[in-house]
Amino acid sequence: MSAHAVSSLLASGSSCSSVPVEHLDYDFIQSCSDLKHLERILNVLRSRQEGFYPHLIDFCEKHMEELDPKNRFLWKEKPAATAACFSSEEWSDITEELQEWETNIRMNEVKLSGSSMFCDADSVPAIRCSKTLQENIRSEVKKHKTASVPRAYRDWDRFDVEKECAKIDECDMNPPAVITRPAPQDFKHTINSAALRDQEKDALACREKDKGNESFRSGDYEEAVVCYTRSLSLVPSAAAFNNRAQTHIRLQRWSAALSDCQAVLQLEPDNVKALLRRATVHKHMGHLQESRDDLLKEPHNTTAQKVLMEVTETAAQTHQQKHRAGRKLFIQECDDGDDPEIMTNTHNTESPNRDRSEESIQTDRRVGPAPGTTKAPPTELTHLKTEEHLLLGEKEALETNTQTVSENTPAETRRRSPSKPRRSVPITEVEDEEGDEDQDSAINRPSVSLQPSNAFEFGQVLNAACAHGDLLTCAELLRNIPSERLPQYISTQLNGQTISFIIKTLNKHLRSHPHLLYEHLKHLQTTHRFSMVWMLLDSEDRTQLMEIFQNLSVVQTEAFSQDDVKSLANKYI
Amino acid sequence: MTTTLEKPQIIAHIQKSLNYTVFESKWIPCSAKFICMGNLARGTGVMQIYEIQHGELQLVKEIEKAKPIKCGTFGATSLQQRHLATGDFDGSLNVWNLEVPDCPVYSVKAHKEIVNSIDGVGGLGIGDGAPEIVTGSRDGTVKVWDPRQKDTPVANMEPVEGETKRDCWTVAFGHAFNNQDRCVCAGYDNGDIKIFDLRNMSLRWETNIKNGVCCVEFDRKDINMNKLVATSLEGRFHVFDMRTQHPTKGFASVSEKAHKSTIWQVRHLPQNRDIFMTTGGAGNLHLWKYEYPAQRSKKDADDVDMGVAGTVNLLQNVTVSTQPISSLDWSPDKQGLCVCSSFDQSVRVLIVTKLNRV
Repeated sequence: MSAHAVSSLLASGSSCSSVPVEHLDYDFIQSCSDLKHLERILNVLRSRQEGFYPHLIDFCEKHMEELDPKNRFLWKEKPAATAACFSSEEWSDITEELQEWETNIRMNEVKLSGSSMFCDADSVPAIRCSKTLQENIRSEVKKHKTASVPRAYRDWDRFDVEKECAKIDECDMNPPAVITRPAPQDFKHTINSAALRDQEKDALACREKDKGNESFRSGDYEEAVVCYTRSLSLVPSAAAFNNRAQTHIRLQRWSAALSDCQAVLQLEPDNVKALLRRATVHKHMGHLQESRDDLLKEPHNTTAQKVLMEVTETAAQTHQQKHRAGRKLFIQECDDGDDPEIMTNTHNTESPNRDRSEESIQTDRRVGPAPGTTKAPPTELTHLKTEEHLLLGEKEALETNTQTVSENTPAETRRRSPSKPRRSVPITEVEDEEGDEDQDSAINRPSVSLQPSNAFEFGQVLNAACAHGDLLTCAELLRNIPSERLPQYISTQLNGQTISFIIKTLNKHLRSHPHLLYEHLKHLQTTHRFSMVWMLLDSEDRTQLMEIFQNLSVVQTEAFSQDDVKSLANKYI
Repeated sequence: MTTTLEKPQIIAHIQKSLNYTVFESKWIPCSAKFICMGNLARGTGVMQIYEIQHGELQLVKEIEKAKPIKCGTFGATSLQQRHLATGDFDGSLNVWNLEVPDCPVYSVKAHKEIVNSIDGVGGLGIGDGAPEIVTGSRDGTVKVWDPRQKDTPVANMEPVEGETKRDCWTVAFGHAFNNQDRCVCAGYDNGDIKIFDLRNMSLRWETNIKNGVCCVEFDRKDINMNKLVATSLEGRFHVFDMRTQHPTKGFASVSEKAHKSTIWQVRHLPQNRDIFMTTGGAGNLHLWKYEYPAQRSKKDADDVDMGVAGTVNLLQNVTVSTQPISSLDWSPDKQGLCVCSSFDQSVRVLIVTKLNRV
């Protein structure tokens, strides 16, 4: 018999027969990463059936902690900490803090009892009137009580099948009403503080602020605003204003945030958080100069530096733009008289009145207005339309857009670079960066930037572009992301439509970047679900793919050889 | 390891042995004092006020009453008056002015049997609206009282005659975010949890968690219902997410098994509603933190909103006694300071460190 069989026989008497003795070993535990098995091993060791090995138990526990710190097997009974568990420094800190608190609270208590005992009975609401409603409660309770007691045997004689079925049908007919939560408007926004003394006011204001903080942390921004408002109605404090400003920023209410930041800075002109938040608000409202001023006041702060960099970049871009008197565009080899590849531009220095609804999804700015037209590159420019051929629909769409763009167009009489077909002018995409405002941007503003930093943003942009048939945007998007991250960004969103769209884009717009094209294709085929979706490609897509590969094989470059291209082509075709 | 050092530590700061069975200990708001209530060996009730002075407990006052006292709350009194409302073994509800304890400020024979649990709202700046006290008793009824109304309760939730009465073991107020709204949550010995809405005077929700409910508590009394923790026999507690109520499925919940014995009490930290401590029948304390899920509600198959429960993580656990810890109270003035009492006739003052870094 093998050692394994013997040991399992021996162990079969105990309840832990699944763990052979060889596993109770340092090397095995070190190499094992299956948590369930480790738990079983730990059970065996702790039960001491195979002997008591305290060092091995510790080792196993440490290993499990590395793998899964929150495992419940690591919960151990231990006594409460005492002075001995802390260094003398820590312990003295703790005791001193407590001492200080004791003296303070005693002073407060004296103050509290010393003041007058007038109780303002008017401010307290009346006694809840309830006499008539007690019966309702009882009957309510009664209904439920009958349900919980099992029916007596005799009751079954009186059971009427038809009636019960009818009752059930009735229940189905009337679906239970959805119980809605009270809206934040039901909260009182101010507290009547006439009857309160200063101490009580302070305590209450603090409490409301804490409630606001908690709501903020759990994501209920509206409630948080109400709590902070209540706190401020009692005792205006810089902290509450500051927090309310941050909540407004999360809700994208820039003007409200701005006024709150101003309030803080009136109380405390050097408040760092308020300066940073105001800078963020300015950046989003487009007042770049004020934003910079605010950020420069606090040069040492790392967040400030980061935001400052972003702001300077944006400012530089607008500046450059204004100088060049027009947007730079990307013109492709348009010998075929293709549609003008005009980049959609978003202007960062938008006048405030454009940004009317601050909570609106900002995709609208970027993506064109003509969903019906398939390949129409949506634009907000005017001049280029005279050059290449445009679909009629686009022209109209452009005209409507022109008005909104009017403040820019005169300034930017755009220079073009039409005549040299192969010249590619790099785009300066001028729009807001996805702000990392204050290092915690939990908002994902959908697809403002064509420089996505995660799969969600990428997906948003791609979907929007796909819906509008906007190959240009897609091309820009694909150009901006590193190829290696393409599968990660696409993640599980790959479907027939998307891949067809991507292929079209690659074929049309990335011909001049063979290297990029190759890399993209290489990584695309490692995307999740690629194999499935690949089967759904229709003949048109395949012809496009063939074109791509033909072009690639023509290109001579060091990065990849003809054979690489051929092998890649095999994967696709 | 750095991780263990970052975890909150529970320090047993002061321990005192008493000569009576102590059922409840509560901090007196805005002070460094707490009050212990219990049952002397000679069958009478006792209340003792202790003050923390230089790391020691000093007895400030001792009050003896005719009947043993089971539970008490400061919830329905103003910060200035700080009257204590108590329920005793005889079923009486009394409100005491601790400066002048000879005669109660308000007294009523609330129930026919022992008052198991009591809670107050509307005082101490918590909860807008009228100050109210709710009591739950072994006679199966839950009654809400207003100290301005003599003899009759403001609301009464009781089983109809002839039905089997289930002991009510615990009551809690919640959802008191404006003058009119209030909810009372009651837990019974057969595992029922019921929420009564006092504004509509109706039963809002009920469920059964299969084991007797020892303690229920909302995470905060004076907000829109956010979370409810219910603890039970056999070492299990449930955290309900009260944001979204599905018409048939009710509230989403997550449950955790710990302690290996009855979980006697759950208390949320007044300064952070996502941290709570549970006390066990084996004399142990577990400190937990609730993490919210990414989406707190989702649509079910019929496109009706239903809630999503988050996760509960154990921050720290200690064993301070061998007997059940029957009561625990966080200090509303100092974060991390708490007093607990257990059936080994002792009361302990604990300090929990690093809570602001959790």
